[in-house]
Amino acid sequence: MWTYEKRLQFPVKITYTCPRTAQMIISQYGGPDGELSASMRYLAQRYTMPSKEAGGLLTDIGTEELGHMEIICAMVYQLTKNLTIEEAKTAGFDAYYIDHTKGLWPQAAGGIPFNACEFQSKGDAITDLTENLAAEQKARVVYDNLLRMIPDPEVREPLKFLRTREIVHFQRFGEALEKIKDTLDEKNFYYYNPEFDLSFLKQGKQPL
Amino acid sequence: MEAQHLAIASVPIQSWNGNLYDYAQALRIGTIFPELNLPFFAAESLPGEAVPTTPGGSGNPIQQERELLMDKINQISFALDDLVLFIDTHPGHQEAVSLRKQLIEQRKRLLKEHDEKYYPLTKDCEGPWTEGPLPWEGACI
Repeated sequence: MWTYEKRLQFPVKITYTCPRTAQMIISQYGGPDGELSASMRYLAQRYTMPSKEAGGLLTDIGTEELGHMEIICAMVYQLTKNLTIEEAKTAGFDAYYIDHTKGLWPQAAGGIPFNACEFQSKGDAITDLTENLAAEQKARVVYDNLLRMIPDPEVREPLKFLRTREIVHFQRFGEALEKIKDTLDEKNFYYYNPEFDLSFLKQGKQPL
Repeated sequence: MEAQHLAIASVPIQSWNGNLYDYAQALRIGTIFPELNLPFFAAESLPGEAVPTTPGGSGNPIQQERELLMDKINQISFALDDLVLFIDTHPGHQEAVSLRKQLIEQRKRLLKEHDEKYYPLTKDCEGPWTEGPLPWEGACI
């Protein structure tokens, strides 16, 4: 069950219109390393995790990513709120405008729609947590790239916040991976899959 | 796990050193933990670049007061968000758990105050969503 809280995790107050910036930032909504992809990845992976600790962490980070999606959407919305047809024509927003007007729709900066193929849920704890380490790094690079391109502080402040969150999440997924490793045989972490080969769990170390 | 092994990723477990940012700074940066603040060179403020402060200077006194309370809610709530992830991978960590209790109490009080003085933020409040601005509008409307 989820409950909504009527505020953004980080406040967004953008006082000007810039469809070109919106077109770049929207990638963190529906792009390959975006917040929607992040949230769906973690919330999908958690069910079969072999420990409550990992399942709990994936729930909390997956939930926070939903909040990040809302921050990104708020930025896109505010950057296009007062969009005129002339601005839509000239600022690289024309193709988006034709299909969505000013509506929010998850796509990458290049127009490619959101796609679940952008993330994995592999049913193997080491694999999934390693994927998550990479996912946080990829999202960090998108924020790095956005910060190089966008000079305005009203947009940069939320982007800087979101970038730091990627680093914190990387640390937490790393710690979760260490905890999973503790439950496995250190001579060969790959001898069995702790999410599938349940018979091994009865004999060896129990997951936390 | 302390020992490193071949053919698998290793990340050191963070230890608690008790050194935390104040909550306003933590929200601005994106973590309560100074050791996890690893900024990007191109994200550094340009000389003369004004860091936007909240709440905005404009608006009437009631709005400013409301925005100050909202800032406080955002700061305490974010400190709790970041702390909970630490506890997720450090369950039962005493100092973290006791800080969590304090933050939960503060958050409850602030949310109640916001509900009573301004408008509801959660569905545990009685008012409808139509009271107060929608979050994506920014607070300055």
